Order: sequence, then structure tokens, then C-alpha cells
Amino acid sequence: MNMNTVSKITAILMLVTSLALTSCSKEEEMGCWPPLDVPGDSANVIMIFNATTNGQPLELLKNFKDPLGRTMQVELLKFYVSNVFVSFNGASTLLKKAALVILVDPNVTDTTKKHNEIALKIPYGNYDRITFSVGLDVVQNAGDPTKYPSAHPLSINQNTYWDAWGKYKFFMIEGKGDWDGDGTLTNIYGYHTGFDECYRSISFEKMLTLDATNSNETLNVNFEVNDVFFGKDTLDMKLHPSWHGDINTIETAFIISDNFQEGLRLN
Amino acid sequence: MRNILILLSFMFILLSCSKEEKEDLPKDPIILPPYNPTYVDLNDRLPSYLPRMDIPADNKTTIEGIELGRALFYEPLLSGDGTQSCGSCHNQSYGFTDNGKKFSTGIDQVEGNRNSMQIINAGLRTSFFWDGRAATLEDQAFGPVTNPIEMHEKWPRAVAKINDISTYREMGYKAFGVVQLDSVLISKAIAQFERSIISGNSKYDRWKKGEYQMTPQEDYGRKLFNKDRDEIRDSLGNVIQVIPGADCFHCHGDLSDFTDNLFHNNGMDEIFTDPGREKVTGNAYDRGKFKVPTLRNIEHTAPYMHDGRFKTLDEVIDHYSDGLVHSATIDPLMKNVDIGGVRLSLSEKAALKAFLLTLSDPDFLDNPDYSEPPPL
Repeated sequence: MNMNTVSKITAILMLVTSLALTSCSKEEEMGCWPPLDVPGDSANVIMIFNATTNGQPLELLKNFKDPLGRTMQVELLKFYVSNVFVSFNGASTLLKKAALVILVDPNVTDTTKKHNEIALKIPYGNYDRITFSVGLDVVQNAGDPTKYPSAHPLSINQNTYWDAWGKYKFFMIEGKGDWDGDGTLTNIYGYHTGFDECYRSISFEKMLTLDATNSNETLNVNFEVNDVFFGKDTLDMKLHPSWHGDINTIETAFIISDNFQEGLRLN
Repeated sequence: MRNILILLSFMFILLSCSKEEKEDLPKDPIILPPYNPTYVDLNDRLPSYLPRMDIPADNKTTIEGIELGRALFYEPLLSGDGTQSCGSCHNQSYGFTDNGKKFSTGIDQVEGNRNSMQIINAGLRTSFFWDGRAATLEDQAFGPVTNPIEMHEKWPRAVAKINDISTYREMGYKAFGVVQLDSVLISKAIAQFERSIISGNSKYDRWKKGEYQMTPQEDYGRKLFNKDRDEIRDSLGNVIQVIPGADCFHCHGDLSDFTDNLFHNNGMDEIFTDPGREKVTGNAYDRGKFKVPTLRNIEHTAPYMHDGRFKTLDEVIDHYSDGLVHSATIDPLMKNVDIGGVRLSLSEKAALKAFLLTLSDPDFLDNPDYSEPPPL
């Protein structure tokens, strides 16, 4: 190998190394829990996701009625929110790459953290729109969960990864129902949506003026659990009580994804 | 002379800081070598496709710590009558379970009520015991010594017996920089050893690395493992086709670790004699939930379930196929409970078993690094 070849290889290695280094953002190294750093003064904005059942706050294993009058319960409800932007006149600022929102999960025992809240830092200024997605974009969805520290939202410890398909679950809801009306909750349902096709983006008009006199804001994003099953489309939960990644029946996952997208409200 | 005084002062400070302050001083003094432990990153020993271990900041793994922990793991002096060690109920040849026994028997011949859990890739676990009552391996290792139905010893007595042996004091110094071990350090050393017990060279692992081609039966079993049982219905709701699946992956599928590290009620009982996770959390919705064990080396860890009720893998597969029963806290992932399970055919059961057998790792079961060391 002559010196010229060595020099070329060295140059290529340096280029590849520098590209790799610059493509690893600080946020990726640290995990996504802290808000993205933004230049200059910024406001602290909390995005809170709230679920209701017939207008009442959702609670683990609390009975409620679906639109058909059947009793049901929720035992697990969590989902990814990603690519949170605010914008003004079409110019957008990225605030959060990914967060895992947990509304109901009996396995989460850490009550010191509010698992339904996402902390955002937004530069002072005027904004007219907030946009976010449910699920993970193609790049994040193809990520390797072993590369993330255990507290990271994309870590394997979040129990949101499908090893069999090498993809993340976007939206998970599980529980029991009484479909035959015999007074016992013996029917089981569980839907874990995922795959890139289930990624959904939501955009709300929202006037925000953030400055030194208004540097703390709360954005409440609300939805009704029944709307997930009985929304734009209706899911026959008795006929299709589950979906866990079978591409042949992905229509079930589309119904859940579309209904949830449509059912979110910004208050 | 001045150096000797400094060394003596240093030793005095170390001794005065020991947890068991009332212990007698060592009988035979040791010559202290420099404290210079060799740190090791156990994650380097894991296959790349497994999750990473969270090593506690206050118990970094060292070669010396693992060596000490291994000796202590197999040390019967930690028990009340000097007959039982951790290794007595966690036999390497059985995937570190209790020699095929349903329940383990302590030094007082009292039988426990839960099956001895395996110790396989324990550094990846997020809780320990069937009910998850220990949050760390260090906490887990602390418990059995004083448990009256296990080793039934008092920590001060156990510590004194260990510190009476100069080799342990020497090993303790090399591992932790102190000349007298205490209960915390003993537990930490055992935890380091347990963390080092890694299985990653089964047929399945070699398949993951492209070094082994599964047989058609094993591969079909793998597909069943990772597949829901689905029913295709016509517009009237009649089942027109059943797509077989064993549904294992929900709880046993994460990243080749074969456990989600969570607690589930997997449909074994309608009424529970053992409350399981509820005993720890106090929440009724945790009744009958138990920790999901890894399936690695499952061929060697019989009998199965928290109470060892199933003697063979065939019985376990039969349970998930046809034996599920409903209860108030049954996991929503047991979605075929209404029909008893996933209803596998004989050939599907055989394929699933064939796949599970690919998780056996002879190198793990025979690894001399995990075996009982020569007497001190």
C-alpha cells in the first residue's frame, strides 16, 4: 500500500468520522427526556395529555360504558409522541424528537414523574401553530433500542419494541370488556399499533406569545377513550379484539391510529 | 517507621468504618497488596443484540469483585449450619435452578413455596424474585442469608465467619480496598458474580449471528413464537380460517432476552393461593401476577412456573395451548383465554418446543468461570 493510498484512506476515514460525529446530536447522546436546548431566552411549556371516559378522568381498571352500553376497563394506555414543532407563518422550530406518554400502566410505579407530561422549551416569540406526531418517524422506528440508556423513551426498558419485526409499538391500549352483558369483564382486548404506516401527524392552530412576562404555559391535549374505538371508523372489538403486528390485518391498526388522530383536542 | 504508622492509621480507619463494628479483629493478619482492582465492562461480554446492563455506580464490576463473589456464592459458611450456599439451590447445570426440584429446602428442612429462579443474564433484570420484591441484584443477594426458610443465618455471624478466613480478607481487599468485609460488601460481590453469569452462545444466538441455520421445524417454531393466533372471519362473524400462532413474544420477546421483565397473570388459576406481585405492591390488580422469567436454557430449568407445577416443557406448552383459565387479573395479552389458549396442533407444539430447545447454551452450563471454585 503506497502513501498516496494511505492518505486517501485516512481522508475518507476522517470524513466518515466527522460526519458520524456531527450527525449525533447532543440530545441523542443525553436521551430525549430533557427539552431540546434552544438558543436565547425561552419559555417553559408543558404539554399534558389527558384521557377521559365519558368525560371523567381515565383511571386504571375503572369501569365505564362504551357507546353500545357495554362495560369496559383500561389496563394499559401509552403511546409515542414525536417531532413536536411550533411554527409561525410556516417557519417551524423543533422542540422534541420523541417522548413516551404513559396514561395507564400498572407496571409503572415511579409516581415522582408525571408520565403524561412533555416538557418543552420554546424560544420567546409569537407562534400560530403546534404540530406533533403519534408514533415514531421512519428513522426513529428503525432505531436500535440497545443503543439507548434505560431511561430513554426509545430504550428496550420501555417495553415498546417488537423484536420480531425490528420496530416500535406506537400506541398501546389493553383492557377488558363485557361484550355479552353478563356482568363479568371476561372479554379481553389489546391493540398495539405500529409500523411506519401507522405514523400519524396532528396540527393545531394555537396562538402563543411567549416572552419574559409569559414564560410558562400549559397545553392540554385531551381525548376520549371511546373515540379510539368509536371515532371516524368503528372497531368491532368483539370481532377483532386485538392487533399485535399482523400485517394481514393491519386495517385494525389503521382504525385505531386514525381514530386517535381525529380524537385529539387541544385546549 | 513513619510509613508503618501511616499504614497502621489507614488500617485503623478502615476497620473503624466497618458495618459490623463489633466483630473481632482478624486472627491472622494479611500483608496488604496495592489496591488496584481491574474494572471490567460486562456489556462487552453480551451479544450486541441483547439489551445493555445498568451497572450500579456504587458497585462497578471488577475481576476481583467477580472472583470474590464467585467464592462467596458457593460458600456454605454463609448459612446457619454451614451446609448451604447460594449454589446449593442455584446449580449451574440446571441453569442455576435447584436441581429439578419444585421447591427448595432450607437448612432447617423447611420447604419454600416458590420455585428457585434461574440466574441467567441477571444483569439485565429490572427486579428480582418471582414477585419483584428486590429492585437490584445487590438487594436480592442480601436476602437469602437471613431468610429463615433458606440459609437461616444472622449477618454478623456470617460476616465473622467470612472474615475469619484470611483468603477472604485478602480477596475483599483486592475487590473493595477494605480488610474486613461486611454484609453489604458480601452482597455486592455476589451481585457482581451473578451479573457476570451470561448466556449468549445458544443455537439461537448462533442463528442470530448467521453461524447456524435452524432446521425447518425450529424455524417454524420461531415463527409461531413470534406470532399471534388470528382468526379470519366472514361478514357474519363466522371463523373461516385460523392462522396459528403461539403468542409467546408479548412477554418473552424482547430483544433476544426472552422476557419483558414485567409481571403478568398468565392464566394458571382462578383463585390464588399465592398473591404474587400483590404481596409487594398491595394492589389487588397485581394479584396472581408473577415475574416473567427468561426462556434461555429453559430445557434445563424445569420444573416451570413460580410454583414449579409443570414438570416438562410439554406441560408448559399444553398450558398455553389449551389450559388457560380466567380470573379477575388475567393479563389482556392472554387474549385466547376464552377458548383455553392458542390451540396449537401436535406438530405446532413440537415445532415450538424445537425452537425453545435452541435457547440451550451448553457453553453457559459448562462454563468453568461460573462453577464452584477450588476450596480456599
